[in-house]
Amino acid sequence: MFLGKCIFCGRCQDVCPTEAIKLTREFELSTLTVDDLYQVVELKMAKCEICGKPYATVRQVLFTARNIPKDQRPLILLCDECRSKVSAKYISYARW
Amino acid sequence: MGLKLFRKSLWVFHLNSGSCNGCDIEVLNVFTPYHDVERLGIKLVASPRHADVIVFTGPITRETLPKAIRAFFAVPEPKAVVAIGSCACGGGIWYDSYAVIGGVSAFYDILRENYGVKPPPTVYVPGCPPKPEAIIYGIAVLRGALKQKQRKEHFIEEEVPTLTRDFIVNLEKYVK
Repeated sequence: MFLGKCIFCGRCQDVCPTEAIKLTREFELSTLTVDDLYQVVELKMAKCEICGKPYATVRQVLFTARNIPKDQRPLILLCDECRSKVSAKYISYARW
Repeated sequence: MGLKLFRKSLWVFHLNSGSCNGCDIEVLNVFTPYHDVERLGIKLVASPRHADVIVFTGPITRETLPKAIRAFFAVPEPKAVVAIGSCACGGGIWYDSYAVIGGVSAFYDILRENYGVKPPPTVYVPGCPPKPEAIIYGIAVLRGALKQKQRKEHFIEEEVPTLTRDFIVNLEKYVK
């Protein structure tokens, strides 16, 4: 996050389901270098089972897995493209 | 950490470098009787040639860039810069726009490339717009009266579980 882009509207706090972001009443943010305005977070990415492309953070995958039924969980180990292909295959089998 | 450049009153030249007027109003609020900073010797002057400090509000648009450069060189040495608002700090919501330079730090890059000028001591006051109190705090940091609170934070995630099909399906068994 870079405070030089933030307009402190609080939209991120409103939409965050895990309450990771919280705005405070602290306003004394002045710094002497631009570098101090940065807050960097590095998270591990999950890789797609089929194509190996990193598609989402591991945290996000675990959070999603908790909130969906068990039979759909293997699908979230795939990236968006592979997931749409695989689920299309399931649907076409179901029609047959 | 603080800058003890100026031992006497600060005279400030306020330059609107493409601001939306929000930060300008907050700068004027600082001079109202409520937060009267003129009692501290801080004064707005009409010409950059009279000023010690130049205040940029706004992301420095392409239109204001030549004027900003002229005003910047008109301020006599030693000088300091206060970048007020998120726009002046890093471009704000226009950070990737073609029409803006992208804040005071990008402005310094242009000065370094074209004129070989070193950036003067600068205080960045983020906020959209910053409160008058935040601006006064920024000036206090510039004077060396107060310490800077905000620091760079770097968080690196160390250990994550390996995602396997069995782990994901029977998640409740492994993780609480």
